Amino acid sequence: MIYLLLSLILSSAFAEAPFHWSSAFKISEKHEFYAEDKVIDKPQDSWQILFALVYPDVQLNLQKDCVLYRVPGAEPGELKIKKIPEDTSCETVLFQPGDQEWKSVSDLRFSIRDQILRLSYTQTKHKAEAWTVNFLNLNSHPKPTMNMSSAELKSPKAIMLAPGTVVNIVKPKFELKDGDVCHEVSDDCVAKASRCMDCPLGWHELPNGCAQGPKRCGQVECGKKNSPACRRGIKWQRMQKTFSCRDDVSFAYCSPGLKIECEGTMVICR
Amino acid sequence: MLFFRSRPVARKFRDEVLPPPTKLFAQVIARAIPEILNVWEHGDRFLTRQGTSCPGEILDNAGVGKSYYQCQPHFWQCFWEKGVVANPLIKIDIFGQTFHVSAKPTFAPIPFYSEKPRFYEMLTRSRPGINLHYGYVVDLEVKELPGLGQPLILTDTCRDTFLPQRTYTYGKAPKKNEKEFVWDNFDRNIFIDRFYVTNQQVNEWRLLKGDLSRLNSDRNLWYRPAVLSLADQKNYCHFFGKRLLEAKLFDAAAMAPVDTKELFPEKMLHPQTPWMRDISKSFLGMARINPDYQLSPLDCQLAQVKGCTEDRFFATDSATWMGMYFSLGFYPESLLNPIEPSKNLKLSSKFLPATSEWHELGALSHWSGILGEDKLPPVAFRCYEEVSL
Repeated sequence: MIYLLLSLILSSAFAEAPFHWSSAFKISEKHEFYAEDKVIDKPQDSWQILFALVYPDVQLNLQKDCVLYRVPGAEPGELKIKKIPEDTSCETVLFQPGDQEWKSVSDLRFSIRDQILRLSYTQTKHKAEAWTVNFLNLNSHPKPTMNMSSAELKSPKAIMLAPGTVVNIVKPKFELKDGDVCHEVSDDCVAKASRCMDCPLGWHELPNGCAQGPKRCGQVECGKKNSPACRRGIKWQRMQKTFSCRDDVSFAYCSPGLKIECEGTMVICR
Repeated sequence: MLFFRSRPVARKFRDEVLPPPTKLFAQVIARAIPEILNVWEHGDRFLTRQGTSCPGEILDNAGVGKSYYQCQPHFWQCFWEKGVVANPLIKIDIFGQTFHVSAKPTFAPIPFYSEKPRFYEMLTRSRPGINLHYGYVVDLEVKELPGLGQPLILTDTCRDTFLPQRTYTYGKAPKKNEKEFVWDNFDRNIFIDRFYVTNQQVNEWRLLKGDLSRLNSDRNLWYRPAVLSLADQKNYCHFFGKRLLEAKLFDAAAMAPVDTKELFPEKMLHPQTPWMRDISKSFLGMARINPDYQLSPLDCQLAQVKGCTEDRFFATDSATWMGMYFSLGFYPESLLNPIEPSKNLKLSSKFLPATSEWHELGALSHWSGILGEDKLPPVAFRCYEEVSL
């Protein structure tokens, strides 16, 4: 009991990282020029975005905390945290008052390594503060192995949510809808990052002979008349070659009685 | 008098200073997560001979295997209602102190289940950003640190299993002059449901959609496979970002490779059973040549056929090489099949005697997909998911 009381007293003396930061699952807008663990001392008297943390609240709304720092120079340094919608850039709030602010800050340094944030700074009268946050929601998408579940590949087994009521922010609904391209793959097989997990109800592939074919949101049964062909694969042939609709279409198949037609690089069953 | 003044006693401070409450709370919760996951993913380990005592929540049944209680929200509810163990609190020792973590009944009752507040809430994703289609939100508290709570989502890590990336074949061994269908799933992350979709899971789907008219209230039927039309089977799977299982994936999951490390075997084999390449060496082959063959309990664990007396739901004896169950016997199963669209039904089931020729991998029949139209026993189904990251 005494120790709890002591900790309560101490808590009023120390600043600490916001409680909900441990539920961040994405780090964005990290300052590209600040080296890890080095004191930030320029450009002086300017506001800089250190990094932003995106985390889900209880309603699965995505929130973003911008961590902003005015580098000390002629004026004392200042650290502030500003909460904004996830799809807004921290640039827009660089000069706005923060939701939390720490004045007279200097010798600030931070590092984000191995899913841990370490941030330290000094305030007036040489009071040193150090924050350590374990990002419990950061998932490195492990290589799938035997007996692994889809849930383990996609996210941590337990996803922490920011507790408490959060500011009412209107969140967008699904940006992608059925039919939208969610994974761009060029004809020469250059693939961008897939956004197909953002499709509301799954996705389907349009095999084009690449290791990964382009994909669109929505569930479409492949192989049927006027549908994309089904993917058969480009490795079972046991030969290194280029596959395409016009050259070698063994990477795809249609249901019996249908023939393969090429629409550009897309393989359609007619 | 000064000499007799009592000296102040030196106050001893502990070497370790406790962090502030919110930080301490976060640290206790972080320490408790593995145990919380243990309750969620391996709830069966907490079951004693007394089983569960939450008849209004989840039933104990001798014919139901322990896998049913894994990633099982009704078990979670029962556990925290003290229906499994008398003291469900999770003990955490940290900073020389002991803390007790538990789930909170934060969530509104689901009248269809009971009037009690729930220790979880099922959610489906309604906006992008989080990499999951559905999960269960729970709320944790620490008894010694009142006023603080940690909501988190428990994901369904028990449902499906990874299909390793390699070459596969489809169907029975080809006859002379027939070409076999070989394919591969390299660069694809495919996960197949281990068990059939159950009535309980279909109830959850209907509750999430707000379709309260066709809920199944008989808890004795919850662990049994759901019987839906083909259209509803597809709708169910799509709702959760999954797809109805395809025949070639079923064969890939059931036909064990000779060498799992050899990803491009010279010769593609077509094992006739999940546990034995040659059916004549299995009990099914013996039954075919000896109609008086007596089924043993082990036979029925591998493939529940007609004549097997015990129901076996969520038992794990019939595992295939990659962790799927019920590949022969048990229930007829609906499969999508773009390769041979009319062959959309695995007919092998507990409704056919051991002598039936349908008890063989690759032996597929047909159903119309409309309930009541074919004279068939209940047709089960399962989903699969392909993850694109």
